[in-house]
Amino acid sequence: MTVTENIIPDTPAVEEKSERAGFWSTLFSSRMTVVCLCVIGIFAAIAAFAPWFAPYDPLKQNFLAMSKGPSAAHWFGTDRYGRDILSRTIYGARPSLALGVMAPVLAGIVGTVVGMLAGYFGGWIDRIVSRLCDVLMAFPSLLIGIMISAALGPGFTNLIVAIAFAFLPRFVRVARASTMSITAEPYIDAAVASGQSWMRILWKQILPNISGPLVVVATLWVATAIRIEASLSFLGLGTQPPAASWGNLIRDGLTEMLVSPWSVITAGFAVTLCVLAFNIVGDAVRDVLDPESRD
Amino acid sequence: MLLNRLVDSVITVILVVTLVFVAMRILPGDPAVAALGDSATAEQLASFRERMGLNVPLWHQYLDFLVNIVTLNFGTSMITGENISAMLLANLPYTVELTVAAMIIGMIIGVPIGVLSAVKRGSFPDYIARIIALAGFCIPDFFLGALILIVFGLKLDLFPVTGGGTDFPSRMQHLVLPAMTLGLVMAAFTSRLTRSALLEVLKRDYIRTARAKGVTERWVIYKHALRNALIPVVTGFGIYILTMLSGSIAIELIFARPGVGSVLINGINSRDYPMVQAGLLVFALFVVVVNIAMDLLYVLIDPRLRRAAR
Repeated sequence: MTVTENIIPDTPAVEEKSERAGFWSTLFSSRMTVVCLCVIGIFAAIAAFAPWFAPYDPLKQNFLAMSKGPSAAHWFGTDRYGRDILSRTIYGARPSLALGVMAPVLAGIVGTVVGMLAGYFGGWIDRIVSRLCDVLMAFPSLLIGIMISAALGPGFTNLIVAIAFAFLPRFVRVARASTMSITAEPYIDAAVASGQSWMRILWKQILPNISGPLVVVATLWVATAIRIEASLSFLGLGTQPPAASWGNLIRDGLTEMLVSPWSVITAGFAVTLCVLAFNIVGDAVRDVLDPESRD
Repeated sequence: MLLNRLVDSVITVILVVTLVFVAMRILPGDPAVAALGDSATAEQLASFRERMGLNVPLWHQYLDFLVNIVTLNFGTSMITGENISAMLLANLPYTVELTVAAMIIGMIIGVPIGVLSAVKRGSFPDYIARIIALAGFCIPDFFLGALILIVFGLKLDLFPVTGGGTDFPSRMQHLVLPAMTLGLVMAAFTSRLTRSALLEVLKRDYIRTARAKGVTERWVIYKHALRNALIPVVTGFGIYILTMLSGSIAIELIFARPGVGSVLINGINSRDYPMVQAGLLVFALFVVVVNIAMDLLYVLIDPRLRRAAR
């Protein structure tokens, strides 16, 4: 699901870099990564300052200019209500990016707590948690997203919950495995012997040591979160019209594709570019923080 | 080992079925309100509960639910009154033919590209193949479907763009564009997986030995390397078949194709509660069946596991 290699052959291998090279300097050593970080920066700026970037109100209907192709006034044309497609695409960046970040963060927080408890205590808690994770991992994330949002009903908050739930087992697994290996270290025995409570041990000793891999996992899932958001909105389960999101722009555009395909094309390219950039950056972060997992 | 796997699968089925049950009854609060909306009157809600068997205790509902699944009785649609099992059965072939066709297209395109990419690692063709594979990962399948529909269906007018067809030739014609969409996504997955698996195998000692013996390079790749490289490719297929299945939901929507996904989405849009439940259940069972099939296939292609299975 995630991109596992950098696509540029002449990228300097991470292994050749000095161990002491900082995180950022290693990350910036690949031109491709820098370009993608810039793309993400531009998308983030567009989402944050959407009213300033958008030439029109995304909800304003103009019956004098319905289903028009690209022109000087409307760069990417208008939809069947005469709404400006560029403005709608710009506003559509907001739910996509917000969700792309929030779903992995929510999954990360809940998954870390559950995974740490399972890894630290072992026994029946661990067996139940692992079993449930196995079951959930057998499902594609999109399918879990569809199942949960079908049950919860459409809406932005429900969408975050649905996508976070789909990602949950990945975080639980990483947190559990890392917690187990840290728990075996002598300094945890020392902490237990010195009478520290388990909550304190988990919070003070274990969490700081497992946060690296969890950050990597979170970065890797941003791209997938954005893609699933688009899919669910496309299916009518996500952001609800008339609000713009990339998924429902494509859904809207589908019905008028014969007349004007511009809504589909503009929003589709926005999703693709955004997912591409997050995928490449996610891989780069993984390669820097966790070079061994590189294949 | 196989027996263990089957026991595991039964546990998984029970867990999944329970998950669907819980998701449908507990998460949305009152399913009657969820189905009828906030504006429903008390009488409407009461009659709905009566009709759907929601006024008995939860454990009783759960047992009913299990019995209905085992007997494949999903009840009738709240909107059209159609028998849901019959409806699903009529739609199932469309989803299956789409998924199978997509897998075949994905393999035919993806495996050779992956082999070429691994053998000529670092070359220009490798570079192109990897960029295409990356694009295949990032482009949402429904957007690719829309583009294919615009170009091949509307502009070039080569294939029918909506519906599923009735007799065999028209069904095949209707299958082309949707299957091409999912097949291209699948080809991106397959070529990547083949490439990295083959590169991994080519590093092994026995490949060096084979080369040292003077075996031709072609023989090394096709006889020694590819066979071993296909093991992770085939096990990876499990999750890809399921990805294709979940992708088929959006593709059916784009091409207005019949299928299990469109039953599910229609159910969701019309708040047809028994239909949503049945649709979700079918997809959940797909997941379980594919996982069992993958386990069996794994044993078939890896002789070491075959011995362990005895």
